[in-house]
Amino acid sequence: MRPMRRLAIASLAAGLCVTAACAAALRQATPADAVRLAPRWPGTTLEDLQRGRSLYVRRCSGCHTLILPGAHPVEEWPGLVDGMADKARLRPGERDDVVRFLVAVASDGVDAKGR
Amino acid sequence: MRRVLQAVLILAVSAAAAAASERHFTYTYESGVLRPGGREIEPWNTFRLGKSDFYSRLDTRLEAELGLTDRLQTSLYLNFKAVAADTPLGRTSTTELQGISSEWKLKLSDPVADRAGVALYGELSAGPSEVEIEGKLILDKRVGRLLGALNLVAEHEWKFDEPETERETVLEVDAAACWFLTPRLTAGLELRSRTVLLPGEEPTRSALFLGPTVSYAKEGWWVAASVLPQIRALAGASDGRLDLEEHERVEVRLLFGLEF
Repeated sequence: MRPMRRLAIASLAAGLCVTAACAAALRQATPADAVRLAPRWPGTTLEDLQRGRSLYVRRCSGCHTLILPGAHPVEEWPGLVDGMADKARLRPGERDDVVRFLVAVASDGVDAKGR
Repeated sequence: MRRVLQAVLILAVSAAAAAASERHFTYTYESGVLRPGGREIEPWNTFRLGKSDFYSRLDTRLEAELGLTDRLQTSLYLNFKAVAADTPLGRTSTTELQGISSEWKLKLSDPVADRAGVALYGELSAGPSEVEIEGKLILDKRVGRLLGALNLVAEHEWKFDEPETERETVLEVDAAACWFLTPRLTAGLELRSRTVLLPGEEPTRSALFLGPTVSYAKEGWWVAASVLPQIRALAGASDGRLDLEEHERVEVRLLFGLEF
């Protein structure tokens, strides 16, 4: 009986690990993202985008499952964030960082839906 | 007009994205925590039916949950137990307040943003006749419409209603996966392996449960239910392939969550 238990546990653990390893995740901001945003938001730095990602993960996941940026067109993200900024306790500067990060990744056709 | 469209879009996103605090499984926890200041009431009911002799038990827990920080939440439970069973004195039934529990959950990573969601969970329970500590490692991952979770659980109990204090260690592995049929409705399977280690000469009892689980969530509330029949004993079989000394034939659990 012990082998069967080990087999069941190992199968589940392996399945979860494989799923996790293959799964899309919210990618980190890159210097190329900052360059791509420059025409729209001059002066945006990589640090701004990294802060935006961190805020998005920490503040937004308390209310809903996170949505990958590519799930919505770029132009929808500012309005979506504005609609939930109060509930997520985002100050105006923080709201800007989150919007810029989401727009940066959403406008990157390659990585918008994950790694 | 633009504002109306924006409001509709936000509502659609809220509906499409499951709330962070809702549960999709009844035994297996996920890594999400409530937002800071978020509050929820969760009544739990677990029916356990069938042992070697007649046995019927209802465990009811009333939980109040509070989000403390972006990563930390705490809960307080009131635990009740009602048992009807055949004993040498005949069929007896008892109802009692088992005690209170304090739960803490720390989220370390997110199931969507990171490779896997990870959380640590600790619970301390105390009542007139027992004290229990419990720890869990929670792993989960959401990929599109598929959600999977795995919990490794260890608990230790001290029971004071025997002539001597009785100690018991329980090791549990809970695993579950579900599919989002709609953004609100999930259906899946839950697997539970529970092993009871008793001190001294007492044999180890271990059983495997497997059954369906469903959940439904709307803005402000959610519900999850499962029916887990015991499919076989992994150690200490007492009735053919099953352990009906320590574990029951079937466990049915129903959870509600209500924001307030």
